[in-house]
Amino acid sequence: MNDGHAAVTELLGAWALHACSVEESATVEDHLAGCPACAAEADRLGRAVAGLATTVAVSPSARLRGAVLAAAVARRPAAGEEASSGYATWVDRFDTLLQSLTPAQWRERVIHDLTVQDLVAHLIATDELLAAQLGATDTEAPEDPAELDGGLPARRSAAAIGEHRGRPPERTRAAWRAQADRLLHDAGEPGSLDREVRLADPRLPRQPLRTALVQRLFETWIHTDDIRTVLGSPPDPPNERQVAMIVAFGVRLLPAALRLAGADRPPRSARLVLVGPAGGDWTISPAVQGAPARPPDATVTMEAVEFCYLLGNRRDPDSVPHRVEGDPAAAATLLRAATTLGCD
Amino acid sequence: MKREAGFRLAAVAGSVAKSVQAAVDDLPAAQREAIRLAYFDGQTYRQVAETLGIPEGTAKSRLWLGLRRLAARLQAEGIEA
Repeated sequence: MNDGHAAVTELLGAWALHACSVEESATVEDHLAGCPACAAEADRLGRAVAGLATTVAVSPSARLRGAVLAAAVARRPAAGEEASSGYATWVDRFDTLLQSLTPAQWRERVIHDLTVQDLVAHLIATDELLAAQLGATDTEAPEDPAELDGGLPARRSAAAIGEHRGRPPERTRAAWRAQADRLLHDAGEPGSLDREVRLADPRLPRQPLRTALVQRLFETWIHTDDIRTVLGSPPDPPNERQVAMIVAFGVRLLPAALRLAGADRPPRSARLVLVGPAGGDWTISPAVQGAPARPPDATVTMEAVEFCYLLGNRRDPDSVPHRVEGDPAAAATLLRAATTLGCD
Repeated sequence: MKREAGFRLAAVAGSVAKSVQAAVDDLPAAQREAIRLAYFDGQTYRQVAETLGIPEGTAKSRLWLGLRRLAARLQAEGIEA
């Protein structure tokens, strides 16, 4: 065991640079799964490599297998409790913000022509898509993906907005908060975090509740940010671990988003390099798992927090600061698919 | 309606690249060269060792030490908090 540790420590730099053999990479990755000290070091080195990506104008080596750092991230302990407490943090922040608003501020137009109150009603509707599943009993018949309705979140949202218009804003806030608290309470039941649930867009593959909670955290942050921007308050971004969870959520669902967008013919893949805190390096391919890997057609480099804004459809794929190397069409497809993973 | 990323963010992205470049330039030449061969030329550490005429163990440790130094410097500058 100790011998293995020493051998791996020696290899970590080469591994982070994708400069060891496939067999050595496998040895390193097996070791990282069980050694938090080496995993932390690998993470640090991986960020230095991600930083290098910002300085290059050419694709850094056709030999890159990508997904190597993603493997390390995937092997970290799943962030169940962390997702739940991260969501609770943003519920509190959003609530504090709402409670500070004047009646005139509740009527301010925020985004897509929605007022603050409309936006809270919209959030009630998307939270409810998840909350309703937790209240329900466990056994549901497997669904036929063809019958799942991608228009459901928008219809629910429009209905909630109509329902809340004309009500005192405080009632809308209280309704949102009560449901969010119920959701958190239900998520705290033993075994709940591993339960498979539908995300806001029911066409995406079902995910463990821990992942759905990251989507709730993400959307609650985005709407907090929407309102802060209109009020002229400085941005209050998620912390590094929260960004990491949002990034992992996006990376995990991007292949499905590409397939939903019909962007899997031809099956182009792209390497995504995110820099800054919570950065990393992934290869995103619409091919289903187990399909033979192929070298990425393009490399897209951007900051991790900017990628989160892109996922929330709060950045335009054309204007978000990023760098593309390789096939521009493959990069554009990836960026467009990313914007569909928010809850608008 | 999307908020534009704006010049500030573009400037931030540019300054990251500049800081990373400065950190790379400040690496000891031996480490910088090893990283350059591995990262920009796509060489394995064995090829790096051969190119530089050094033992494989030395190539591995130059890559490791260089990256560590780079990570520490970027962290200190708040780029990789």
